[in-house]
Amino acid sequence: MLEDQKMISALIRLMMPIFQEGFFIESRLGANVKDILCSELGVTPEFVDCRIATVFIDGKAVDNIETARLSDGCILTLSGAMPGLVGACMRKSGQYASLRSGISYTPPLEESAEKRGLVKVKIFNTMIQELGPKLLKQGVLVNKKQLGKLLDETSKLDTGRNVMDQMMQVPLNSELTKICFTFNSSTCQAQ
Amino acid sequence: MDKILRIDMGAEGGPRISVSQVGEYAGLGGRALTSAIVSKEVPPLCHALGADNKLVIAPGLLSGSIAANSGRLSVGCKSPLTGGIKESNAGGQASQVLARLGYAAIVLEGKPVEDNTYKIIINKDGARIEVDNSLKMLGNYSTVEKLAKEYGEKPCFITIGPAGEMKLAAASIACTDMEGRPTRHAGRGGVGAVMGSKGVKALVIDDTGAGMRAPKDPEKFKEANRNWVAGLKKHPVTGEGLAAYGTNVLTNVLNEAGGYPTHNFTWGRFEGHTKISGETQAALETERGGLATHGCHRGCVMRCSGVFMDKYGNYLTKQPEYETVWAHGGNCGIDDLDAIAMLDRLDDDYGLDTIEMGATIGVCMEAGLAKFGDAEAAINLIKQVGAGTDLGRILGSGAAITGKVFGVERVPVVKNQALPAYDPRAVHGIGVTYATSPMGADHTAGYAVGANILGIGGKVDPLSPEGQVELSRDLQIATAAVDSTGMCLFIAFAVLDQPETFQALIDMINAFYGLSLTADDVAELGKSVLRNEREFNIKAGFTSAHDRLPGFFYNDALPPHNIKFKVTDAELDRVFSF
Repeated sequence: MLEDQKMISALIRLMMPIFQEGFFIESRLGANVKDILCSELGVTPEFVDCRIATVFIDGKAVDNIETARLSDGCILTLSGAMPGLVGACMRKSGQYASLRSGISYTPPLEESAEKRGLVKVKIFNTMIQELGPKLLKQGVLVNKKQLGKLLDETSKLDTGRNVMDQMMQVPLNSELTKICFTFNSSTCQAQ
Repeated sequence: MDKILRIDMGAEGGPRISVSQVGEYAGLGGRALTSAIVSKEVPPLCHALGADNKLVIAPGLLSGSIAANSGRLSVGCKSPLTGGIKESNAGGQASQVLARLGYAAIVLEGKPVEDNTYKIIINKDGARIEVDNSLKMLGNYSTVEKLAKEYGEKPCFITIGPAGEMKLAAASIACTDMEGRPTRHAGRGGVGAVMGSKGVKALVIDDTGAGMRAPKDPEKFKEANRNWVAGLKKHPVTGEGLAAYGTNVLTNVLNEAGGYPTHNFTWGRFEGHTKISGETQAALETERGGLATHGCHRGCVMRCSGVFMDKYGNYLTKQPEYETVWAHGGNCGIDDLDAIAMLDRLDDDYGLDTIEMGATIGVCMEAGLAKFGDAEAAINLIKQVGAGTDLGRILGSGAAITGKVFGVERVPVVKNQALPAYDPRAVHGIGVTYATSPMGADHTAGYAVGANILGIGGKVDPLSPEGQVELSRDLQIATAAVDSTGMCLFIAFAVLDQPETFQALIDMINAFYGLSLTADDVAELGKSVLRNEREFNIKAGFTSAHDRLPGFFYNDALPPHNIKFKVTDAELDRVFSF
């Protein structure tokens, strides 16, 4: 078995396309985004406040994650702080939010009842390093096409056998499979 | 930094060198100095490639000192691309080296009578100019290689490629980086063509024997620089994100926002974005033995650049910037990082602005000269420019000319300069800056220092849809001031969020020059730069009609959010009401 840290780096690289394109999680709906990030991804409120600087729901930039709500089938995107004026104006509640007011997220007027549903999650840049290990361990849902590509890429690696030894696949339905990895990491930063 | 080196290329009997004190330009550096000289000495109605235009090369106020990230070089002139005033800036070693030799500016003026190719050699003993026709029409890489054989590896080189010699409006000026490669370009506005019109192929600048510039108050300066570096290092953008992924970290985020112009500004998202993102690029560079974290000049603590190796592990180019990856990538439907890196290498070698060329290829693709996504065709089109074919000369003249020649309506330019990588329909605020900047469409024109920190124009509610005009204006003012210090604009992120880091910047300037500037003085400097530039443009024939985006931004909704640019003409006309 490879050392954990090396294995995590290799897995992060392998999963990078999926993290960027988006994987799926089964999630509570109706609650606010901050609550959901804490309860479903297991991160602390401090991490959400300090490290997740940029949030999109369905491509709309979110300013207040305590009023934003996820709906079934929506896309939630998480990013660190971005450079440039345009990067800065995408930040939640940033000084320059007005510059992109045309694509700002507006929370729904009516609160929806709490239920569970499927959410597509994309993570970019520092979020890949900081949330990636935790997600690999707790597992994410990938579709058939993504799983096929992942297995194909894994088979090309020198360490492909090690990766496969540590990968668990649990089909959820004909389209989605939960994949997770076993390693003894204590390095998940998003605690 | 108290003298100006002037070279009259059209003097009787051949180019004549003179050195004068800075005189009335004392206290100015970088963009403040280039724009002051151009606005005072260049007739606004002159031909940009004629004898009356001047090319001004100026280090920033803090360049040549130990101040971190102070190595930006400003290049100014009347632009052959826009017809207005131009300041284009570059990283690399040149700014630090020129400043240490004591030059506040180099001014190339006049026009040579004979068709010779000149090189200028500058060191601690002075400057001289020589004919060297063996450099004629060489690429930047070959030029630098040849000069390094003659003058050694120590000097830095400022050069133009064949595009500059052909006086093409998209021609850049290259500055060598820490490794002596011509990878850092003053790209925008055709400044390379103006250097070409002066007959100057290269400047060889050697600071051997010249020490670091000394501050008036060394202790205060040292302390301010310590606070400055600490501020840059602790900020999540300047200390983490930029170093890890470079500026191309923006690809995924802009794409998600639906503001990533794709297929010549037809859509706001690109299907192949994950293949060319900063995250993917950094991983690929590391796997191939390149570098995902690297500075463009000594003294940089952010190190947002990198080194891109080809698939065989050989050096190909520096890490392409976000704007380059967008221009040659998503904008043209190309999702192949190797092809994009090759286009970047060719642009650098021929001496071309990557934003202008990517936009131009996009216009060509819309015209049917190549298919969107055809990387090989894009590479061949850029090679046409390098070879100086008739088609190549059209393309090298930029997106506006190319659009006219091939009858394309959707041409993304303002004042004839191509728009960078952010669609103004998704981000209206940047559209205000694109439309009104005296530079033409320029993403860096309104970039820096929080308006609320500087207190220019009062506080703006960040969540209000109103106030975009005020924000754009204040940002343009602040950016003009930062451009005058020689500081890399990326410091803006730390300064934006950390008032103590902004204060450290002011403290450094004060300690260096023995001044007592306040934030208001910095704002006033920015305003005076913009006033100079604006006045020049008005005298050159610009009116409010030039402060507009092309019609398609108002008429064609941008998917996926299906929005149009909605800032009114009246609002745009308020930007310069200060």
